[in-house]
Amino acid sequence: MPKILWIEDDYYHVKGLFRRLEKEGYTILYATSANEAYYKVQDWQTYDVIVVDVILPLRDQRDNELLPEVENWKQEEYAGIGLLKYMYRELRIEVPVIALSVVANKLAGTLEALGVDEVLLKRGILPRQVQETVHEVLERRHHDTRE
Amino acid sequence: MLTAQCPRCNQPFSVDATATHALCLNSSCQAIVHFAFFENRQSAAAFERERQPWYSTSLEQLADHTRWMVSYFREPILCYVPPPLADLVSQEILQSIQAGFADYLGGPFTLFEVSDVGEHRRIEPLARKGNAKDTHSTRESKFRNFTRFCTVLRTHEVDGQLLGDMECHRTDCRVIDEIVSLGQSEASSHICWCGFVELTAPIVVNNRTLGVIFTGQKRHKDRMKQDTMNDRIKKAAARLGIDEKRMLNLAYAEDVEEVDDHDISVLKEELGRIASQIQAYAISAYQSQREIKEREFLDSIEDVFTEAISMITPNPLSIKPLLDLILRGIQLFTSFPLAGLFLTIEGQTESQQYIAGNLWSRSGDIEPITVDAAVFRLAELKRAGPVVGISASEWPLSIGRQLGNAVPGFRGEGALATCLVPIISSSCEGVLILASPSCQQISSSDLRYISSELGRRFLRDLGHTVGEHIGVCLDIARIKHDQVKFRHLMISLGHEINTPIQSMLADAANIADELPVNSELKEIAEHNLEEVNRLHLLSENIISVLSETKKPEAPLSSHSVFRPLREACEMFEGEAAAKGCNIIGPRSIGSPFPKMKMHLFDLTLAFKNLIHNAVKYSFYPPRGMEGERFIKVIGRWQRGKENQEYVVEITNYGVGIKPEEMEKIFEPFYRGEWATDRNRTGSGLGLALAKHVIVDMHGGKIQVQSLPMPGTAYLNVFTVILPISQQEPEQEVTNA
Repeated sequence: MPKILWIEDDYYHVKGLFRRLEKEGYTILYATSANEAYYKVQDWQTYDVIVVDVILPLRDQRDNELLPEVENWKQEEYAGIGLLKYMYRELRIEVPVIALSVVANKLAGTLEALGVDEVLLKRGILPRQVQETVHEVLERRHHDTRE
Repeated sequence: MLTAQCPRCNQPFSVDATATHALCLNSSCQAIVHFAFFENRQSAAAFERERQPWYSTSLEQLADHTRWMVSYFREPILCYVPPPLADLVSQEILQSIQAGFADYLGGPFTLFEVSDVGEHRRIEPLARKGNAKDTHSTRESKFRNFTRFCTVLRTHEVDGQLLGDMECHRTDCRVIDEIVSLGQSEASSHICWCGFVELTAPIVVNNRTLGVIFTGQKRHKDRMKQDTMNDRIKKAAARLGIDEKRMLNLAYAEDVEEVDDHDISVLKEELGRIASQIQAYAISAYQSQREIKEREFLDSIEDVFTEAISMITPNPLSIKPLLDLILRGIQLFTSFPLAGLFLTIEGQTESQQYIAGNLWSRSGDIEPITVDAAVFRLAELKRAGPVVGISASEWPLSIGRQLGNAVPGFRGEGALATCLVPIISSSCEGVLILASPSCQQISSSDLRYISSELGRRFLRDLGHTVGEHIGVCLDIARIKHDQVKFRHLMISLGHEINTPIQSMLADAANIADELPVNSELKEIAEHNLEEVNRLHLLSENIISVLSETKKPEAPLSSHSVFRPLREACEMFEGEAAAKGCNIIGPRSIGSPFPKMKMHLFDLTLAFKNLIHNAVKYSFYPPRGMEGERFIKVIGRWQRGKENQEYVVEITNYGVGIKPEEMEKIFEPFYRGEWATDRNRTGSGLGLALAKHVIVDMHGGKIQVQSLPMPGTAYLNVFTVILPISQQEPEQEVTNA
């Protein structure tokens, strides 16, 4: 079954959004800080979808030192933008990415320009909408690769 | 130039030797200082010995002092002109005083200033005295002081009738002769004079002699033959209708033993009475002049203020009108061109300084500077011309002290500048500085810049007014500042609230979904979901309204109109179903939903509001009509695609909208008259927000119709018209 990497520091509070997918049998993996996200996206090939919240804390809960590779994400307004740039420009990932954030409305243009497949506003969104969006991007990708 | 000291506050300042009155420059004192000059050393000494507090703080007090002076010295003060005198007096005020005398005497007359300096003696009408310097230079020191008191008031003929004579001068035969020859022949015959009398002031009104004021002096008597003297006295007495003996007695007032005290006291009384009467006229003339001037001033200043305030109110960060106002005010009362304008903002609290800095820097020509810099500039500018400074700084003293430390020749506070006007208000203190071109030392000519007590008062009042306005500006700026801060706080609070709402929403949706259809809790869970939805909408609306100046932050992105509509419909379909009025749609008629450039999330929010409104104000359909009364969300092209207008209609049956409310319902916080009953909650923000998004952000239109239907329900149709350019390729959307 598909695997989703969800980069989200607040996942505990909003994990209900992925419940429908979990019940379908999807595996959800989390990353809650910039460092953790950095490590986990290294094996991007193992995921089917990556969901990114652009508001990403640079420090993790154990207050570990920031990785030198993550250092320049600080230049961005939101660290998640730095992460996305890293993913697209250096790792050259090929899995679909969904941006799910409370500031998605503000950043829609930027995110689309980076190559993000779908932009969702994490304000008033229903689990069903997340589920449908994940299905859509997977289908689209499936469709594309088949062609 | 004399150095004088204010008898009230001991503030030293320089004053022209010929000045009789000056204003104390100490801004906290402001006394009217009198300078009396006495030819007679004895009386000067006597004055020194029995020195009275020799200053006034009001015109009334000044009158008292003058009366006292008259009775003490028996010197003629009948020609007394309230301050400022001669050089200091403006032509207008002089004329008004003359008019005042004329009223009293029943006709017009001319003021003369008499100077008698041997060969250089001259008599000039005061009004024509244009070049003061010239006159001064030809005078001998002895008479410089003297001339101040020797103003001759003479009558002229009006309609062929001599109205009256009045003289007041130190007599010298030659001077009198000249006066006589200068005047009309009839007038001369009415001038009563005695050659040996030092001071004489016959007062004749309408050919009736009121009295003669004079003092005698030995040396004059010695100079003349007794007979001639007596003859003249007798002649004068005959002309005045006074008893000869009494006249003689009076003439020898100081020297002749026979004069009894009674005569002198009568004379004194008479003198005092007349002096005070004339003075009262002079003062009232002066005051009426001042009132007129003040009225005119107030009228004009009111216009300026109104203008200034109207300019300030919409933009409190503009101080420019106030500066213009100050300049205009100064021009009204002073005569100097300005060389510079500066202001200081030191000594404020940090926040005030910040605001003041903003205030000043936005005024354009003027930059805020420190007191140190102001001192430097003042020193620079004084070579070029007068300086006006406005300070939002501390009390004048501190500035004065700093100026004093920095500029040589400065003595005490205020000496560098002609005038320090405190600007005081509840929130701002400062000082308005007027400096003269030669501001290293104050001279009486500097006082000309502030032409009168009126001018001084004006500047003081202006200072207060300006201070108040600056204060108001600061207050408004502070309030605005606070409001902005508060709004930011509320917006960030709104964002904080978003996460728990999102969390609750996801969980509520999951619970409602997963509960078995017939379970007891299903209904509760669905209701809970509705409420969370509503909470979400409310918080979004509040954030949107608070960030009212919201510019489209994100660039437009291309999406099908279907997407925001579907999201909005999905959100409220549960609530609608609970009310028995299912949502039909979104459907597009005739063609699929088109794509358009949109602010996706804002448009979604707008549709959420419109659809939630439709749900909220729907009635439960009457029996038998369940199949007819839906909430419909239908899209179609208006008048064909080429018209480029795509219309979305949201229809419901329920609470109607009154015709007169059709516009108002889109105003923030307005709630329809019928909408407020039936326990329907609402913030009055939703439609305002929807309109903002559709009209301002997408260039669309929103219309509403409300048609009465059988029963109590109305058919309400909200029509959203979206402009869609044809270049947009249509998206194949399957209408679920």
